[in-house]
Amino acid sequence: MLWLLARKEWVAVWRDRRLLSMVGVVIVMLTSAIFLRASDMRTTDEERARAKAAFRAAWLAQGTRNAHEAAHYGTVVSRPLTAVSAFEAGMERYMGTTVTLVAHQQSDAAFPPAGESGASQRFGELQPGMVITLLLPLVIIFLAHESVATERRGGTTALLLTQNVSPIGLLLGKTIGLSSIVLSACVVALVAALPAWWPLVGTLGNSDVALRLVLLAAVWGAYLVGWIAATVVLSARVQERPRALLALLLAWAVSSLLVPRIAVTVAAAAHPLPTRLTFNRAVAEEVRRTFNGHDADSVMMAMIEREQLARYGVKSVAELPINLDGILMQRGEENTSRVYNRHFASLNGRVLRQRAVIQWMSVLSPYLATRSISSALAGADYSHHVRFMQQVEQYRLRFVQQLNAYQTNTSKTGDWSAPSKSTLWNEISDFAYEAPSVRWSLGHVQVELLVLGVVFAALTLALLRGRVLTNA
Amino acid sequence: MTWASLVALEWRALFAQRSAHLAMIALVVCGGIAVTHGSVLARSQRAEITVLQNERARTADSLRRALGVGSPISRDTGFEGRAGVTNLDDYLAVVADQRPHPLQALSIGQRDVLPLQRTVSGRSLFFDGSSIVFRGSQPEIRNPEQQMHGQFDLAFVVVYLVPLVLIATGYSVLADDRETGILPVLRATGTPLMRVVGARIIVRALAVAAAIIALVVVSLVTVAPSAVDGTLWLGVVTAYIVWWAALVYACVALGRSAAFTASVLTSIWLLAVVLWPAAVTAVVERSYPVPPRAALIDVARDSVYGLWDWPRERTFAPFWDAHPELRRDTSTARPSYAEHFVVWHDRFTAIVAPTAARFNDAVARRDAATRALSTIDPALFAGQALSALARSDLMTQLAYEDSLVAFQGRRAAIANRMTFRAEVLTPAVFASLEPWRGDADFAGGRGRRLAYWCLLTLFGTSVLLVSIGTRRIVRLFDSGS
Repeated sequence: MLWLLARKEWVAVWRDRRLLSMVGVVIVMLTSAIFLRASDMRTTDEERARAKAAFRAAWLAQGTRNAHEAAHYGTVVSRPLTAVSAFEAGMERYMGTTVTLVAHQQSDAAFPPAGESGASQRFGELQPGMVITLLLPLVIIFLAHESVATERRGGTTALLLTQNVSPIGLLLGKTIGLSSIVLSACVVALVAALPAWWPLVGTLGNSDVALRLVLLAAVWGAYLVGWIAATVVLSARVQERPRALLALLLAWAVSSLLVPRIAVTVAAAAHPLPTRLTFNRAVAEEVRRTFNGHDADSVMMAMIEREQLARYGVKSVAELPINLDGILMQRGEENTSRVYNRHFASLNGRVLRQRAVIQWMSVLSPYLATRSISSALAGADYSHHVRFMQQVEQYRLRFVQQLNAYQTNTSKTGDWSAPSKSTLWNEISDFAYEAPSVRWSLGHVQVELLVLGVVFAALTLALLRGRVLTNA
Repeated sequence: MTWASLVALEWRALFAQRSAHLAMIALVVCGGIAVTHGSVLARSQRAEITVLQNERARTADSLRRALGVGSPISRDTGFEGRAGVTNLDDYLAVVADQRPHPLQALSIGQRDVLPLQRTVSGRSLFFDGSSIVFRGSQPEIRNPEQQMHGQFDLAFVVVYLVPLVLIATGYSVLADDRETGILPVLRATGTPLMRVVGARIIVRALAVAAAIIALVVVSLVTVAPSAVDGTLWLGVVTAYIVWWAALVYACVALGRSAAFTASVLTSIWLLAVVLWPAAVTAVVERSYPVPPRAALIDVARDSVYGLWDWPRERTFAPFWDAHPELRRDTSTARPSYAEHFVVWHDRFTAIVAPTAARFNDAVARRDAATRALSTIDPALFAGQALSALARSDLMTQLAYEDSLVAFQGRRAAIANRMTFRAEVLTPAVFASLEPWRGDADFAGGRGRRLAYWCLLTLFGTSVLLVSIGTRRIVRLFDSGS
């Protein structure tokens, strides 16, 4: 009987031009969004690959440049794209994409794309994640808000109830029918856009991309089914169609527009972040106060000098078999890296405290929870950004350390122009980002998963309380 | 019945419903929270800038004392020395900020993604001491999740929520009467149906407008912008409310069912606030691509590498060409460290600036295209106008950056003169240095022009919608439906 009821929904949609056109709109919107996003990603990926090759080529073509000079010349790395971000752009637009790696300083990721576009981008970006989490619920509301009311108005509710169809069965049947329509439309869009996204999965995919895509589909599917269930339940409770429609639209506006903005506002007020200038100054001040490898009057410098003299059993720096400057640079580098790491960790801590506020406020907004989970699965959220930055810093420290070690062991103190062997640059490997596992990604959105689970359970309970129909 | 009596009657009828009270209260509460958040953000930015400027003033003062009044910049002192050229540079440095405009409390715009301040001195704007700097190299510290979801300011409440309230309260003003059988009774009174429907829409628009405009007026009194900016901001908000009221009137006048009217209005709302802006972003970003940043860095980096060690024909020669008034014979006396320092920065800027300008030009073209395409979308147009008036849009940011470049050039000229002519840095000279005006209208009035154009467009199309709706209602009445 459930399948008959579900099939009835298919027939109703097929016969109603308005409803059919809505399904068509879903397919067109989603297909367009996938094509646009995939095209963007292809362009971005090609640009980043060209940049990576160019910087690597420039690095390898340094000839016999002095090692310390090369450490200042440095290199530039870009944040890699992931295959899943073809469907969910997450926070990519607002996070820096490029990091400059040079000695003596730790740079933040620069050039967030949001700074390069006008006001229209703040209204939203036509990408699959936005279409599914923001727009599809609206279409669902229009499709389903009169599903039970129509039956009631036409007198078929009473008829069905006398045909051994339980109220729960009726609501479940409608939910299943509408869910199958919406999810089928999404599948059609996915298949239609296959030429766009499939090659990306091939070029950008890693070992767990299939699992991530399946989980993303599951989360989005649950989210959309949740909206369908909520719409069906409300349609059953509220007798008048227009009022049901309005109540649902207001619920959508509150959940998808209002609560997310209020949540981030509350979070920002509770845990404010420093400005860039204040942050940079605090770091520079601490580096200046501690040891940066350049300050000739530094106590630390004198101590290191004595340590090396004792180690090699010589009386003066000139007699040292190594380049003391290399050691000073390295110690300075380690110290400044510690200082930077401490400040960045403190900053990240504040952002994560903001995140915690937002996570708990997602109880009021399944949209907020769903976007967080899908951003995490796509590797396009703040936690992944921090992970990328940590790996970048470890790489920077390693390559500077290698250059300092080379300078220490192959030249004399005070010789800042000693040439390096041209094969040195090849010995320093290129940066390779190690993407986290799915478990790691989902570990940062446990609260959101719990919220979605609770909301889904509540909706299931509401559905199973089919008594709303007998009250009509 | 006259218009006035109808409006009064409808007003009483509307507010006899508890839902109307709740809707107005919700609107005012949302608006209040939004204004508070915007004000707190603007205040904190202003406070931060004040702290930085005070620190800069204290640094300059202590340097002045350390240098001693009247000492010329030492030609031979290394860069760490007390009278060294970098101290001069610190002396000349200012925090060149974009002071938050008073209206930014109401429309945060893109201030959360665009940088707010730079320290500007005689040194190149494109070099931070260790690496090349382009716009966006040092983005402001923000939570990307907050930026993704957007700011909760009064402009958001007006652009997104006010239309929804108008739609929610107005979609069924005619359909209810038809469905409950009251319509023939209404027509029998002899009062034109157009007047009845119009009065109902007017009442709803007035109720919403009263709530929002009261909030705006209180906020304007608190933030105290200029009279012109404040009036324009209020005008754009009013025009936007009128536009949506006119649209509701025109859709109601179609005479269809309440559900149909609600569907049409909501679809238009969705198109205006979500779909069209997303489409504009997609089209503009493809039609006006900006050069990839990494490629810019690569080009710039290689073009200036080793600049310090370049032969004088490549550094001092072009410098003398650009600044003939400072020319001196370097064949007899080698350039000092200080002279080498200022020439380095001058050449660095000369080489890198065109690359940076190419990028900024691409961004400016993109922004101009976005603004052009926004004129047919009331939500996007109004949002842009409100941000432009609050100087929180990309257009203002680009103008600010152009001003930075020009200001830095003037600061560099001072550093150059003091270095090459040994001009003495006296308190009088220091006091005469051009200050940075953080509250200047960098965009030169373009924000106001955008707002005027927005007002005209919204009011003009409102009149069109009202006339279409009126003609339709009169035809309905005549057709006896």
